[in-house]
Amino acid sequence: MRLPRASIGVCVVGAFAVLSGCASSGEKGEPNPGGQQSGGAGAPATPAPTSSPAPMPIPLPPQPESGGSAGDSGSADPGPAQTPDERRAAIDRKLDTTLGTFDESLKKEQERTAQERDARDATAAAAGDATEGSDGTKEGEDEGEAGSAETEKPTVASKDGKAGSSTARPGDLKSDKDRDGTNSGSASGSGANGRDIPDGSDDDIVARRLRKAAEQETDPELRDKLWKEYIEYKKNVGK
Amino acid sequence: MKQQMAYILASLALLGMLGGCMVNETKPLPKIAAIQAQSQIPEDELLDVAVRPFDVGVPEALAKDEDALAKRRIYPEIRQAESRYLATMVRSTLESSGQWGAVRVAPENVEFVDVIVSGKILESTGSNLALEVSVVDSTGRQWIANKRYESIADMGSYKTEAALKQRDPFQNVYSQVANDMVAARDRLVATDRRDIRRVTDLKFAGDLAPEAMQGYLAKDDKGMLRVMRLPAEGDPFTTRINRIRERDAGVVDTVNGYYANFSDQMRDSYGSWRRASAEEIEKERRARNKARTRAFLGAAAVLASVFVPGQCASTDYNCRRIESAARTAGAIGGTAAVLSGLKKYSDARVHAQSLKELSQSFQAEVAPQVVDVEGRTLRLTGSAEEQYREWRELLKQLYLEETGGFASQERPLPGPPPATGRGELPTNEGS
Repeated sequence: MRLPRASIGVCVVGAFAVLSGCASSGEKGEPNPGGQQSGGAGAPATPAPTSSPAPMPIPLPPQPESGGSAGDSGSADPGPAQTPDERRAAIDRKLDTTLGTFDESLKKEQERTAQERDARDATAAAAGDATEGSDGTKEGEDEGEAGSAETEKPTVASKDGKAGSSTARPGDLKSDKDRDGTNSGSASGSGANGRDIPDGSDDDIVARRLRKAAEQETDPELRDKLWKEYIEYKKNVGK
Repeated sequence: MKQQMAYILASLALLGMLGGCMVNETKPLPKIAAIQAQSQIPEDELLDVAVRPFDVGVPEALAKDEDALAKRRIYPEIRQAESRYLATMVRSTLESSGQWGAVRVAPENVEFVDVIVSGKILESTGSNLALEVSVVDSTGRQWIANKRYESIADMGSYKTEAALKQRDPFQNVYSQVANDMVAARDRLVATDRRDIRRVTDLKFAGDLAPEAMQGYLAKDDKGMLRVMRLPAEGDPFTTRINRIRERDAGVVDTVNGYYANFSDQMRDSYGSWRRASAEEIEKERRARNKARTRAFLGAAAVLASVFVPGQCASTDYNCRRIESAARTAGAIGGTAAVLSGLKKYSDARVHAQSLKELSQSFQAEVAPQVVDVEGRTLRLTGSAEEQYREWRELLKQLYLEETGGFASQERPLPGPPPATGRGELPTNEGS
């Protein structure tokens, strides 16, 4: 009976010791090498590293007040970082990540807009083709009469130094313009890259039809042939 | 004498009959083109422009009275569409001139642009366009203050579909706006133009990181923003802000793409509506003119035949017979002219009704497109605003890291930038 009582007493004392030890480590805020604090919430208690140029302890970045995603846990969460450099690097990483994500979603949206525009252009071109036969000659006369097509083919002066050289449709995106600057001709998006496509301003009715057909064609091979035919036709007409 | 009176009466009656048959031939409008840049503008003076969707200009008092609006040829849904369409036309005219940097249609909440064009539609039908335009730069300098631009339609543009696509009937209005802007810009010295760009950049930076960007800008006596100092070359903090600025430009580009697509989408049907509107308005105008002339001359002939005193001697039966016949003819002719005038008034009402129906049909077509473009704009700018909020917070954290948290304690912050900026619909009157 003694032995068990003694062993129970020893166990109880041991348990108390263990429990008190746990409690003290939680209250006194001893450094937790495992970095168990979440985010930067417990960071103000962290002593400033000696390498810091700041004369006072540097608080960790506060949590976003708006409840936005700035404090969301992620790969670049600045929480566990200890030194200012590490924390800055973590914030920079987070900035990079969000910029990248934002770029992707913006790019998708721009592509969607461009697709809608191309689809509408193709439909309009097809409709124009259908009616062209009936009033083709009249159209030619009227084009001459209407004067300069200011809203059709504006020249662009961009901050990238491409003043007046490239052509852009009303509503082209800035990024589109940038691309236009690197590609040749107005048909750069139609599979005619690398070819010297005439601008089409002096097209006769046959050339216009060839051009429209090439612009509408979705099959790359066929489109290529149509552009070739168009260029050859233009050359022959010019002779 | 007798014969003279008879001639007068007969002439009045004849004029009454024919009064409305005059045709007003309109001369072709001179075509005003936007002044093109003759040389490359230095990059640091090339100003970006944002064109706001125009105020629809629907009087608040009449906003719910469709008939009253229709009498003024105001169709709210069409105005909503025109608000964006006309802004797009001004944008393409500015862009085509080669005088500016990036020119974009952007809603009210896009604030950080070198030059902002805003306006109000005063009148817009197929035959007439009147806009009130204001232009201001980022420093707060007013370039154009509520100036009225007006033109009748270039009827040559309505001749064929091709002509309509080639040149907008109101291109002169857009060109005048563009030319006035160039004139206003050219009045500035190069330093001013460069300052506008710097102020825009610093305003954007100040919006994103108000703590870090304090003291870079200040208002002068006239209330205009001035650059007080500039960030150091290669400053990492500014570099981060510039990276975000590129994304902001991307958002504005995308929204501009929405508006451009919207305008492309409505161009054909809007052109047809404008042409039909111009025709109906012209027919109505002619019918009203005819009606007015006929009614006036007819009434004059009737009155003359009744009240012009007799000129014949009482014994001169021949003279009296002629006089009587002339009076009778004048009265009959005058009455016929008045009746014809009334019929013409009725014709004018038919044309007005026809225009109303035509417009209602076009409204039904274009209204969903307006809802769509504004919905997409709202969604994009709304999510962008959420992202900006996060970036603002990250920049704040970085700033605190770099300053050891002192700056925010020692210098009172101007408060968080208004989070309501982006992500709101443009507030157009009557919209």
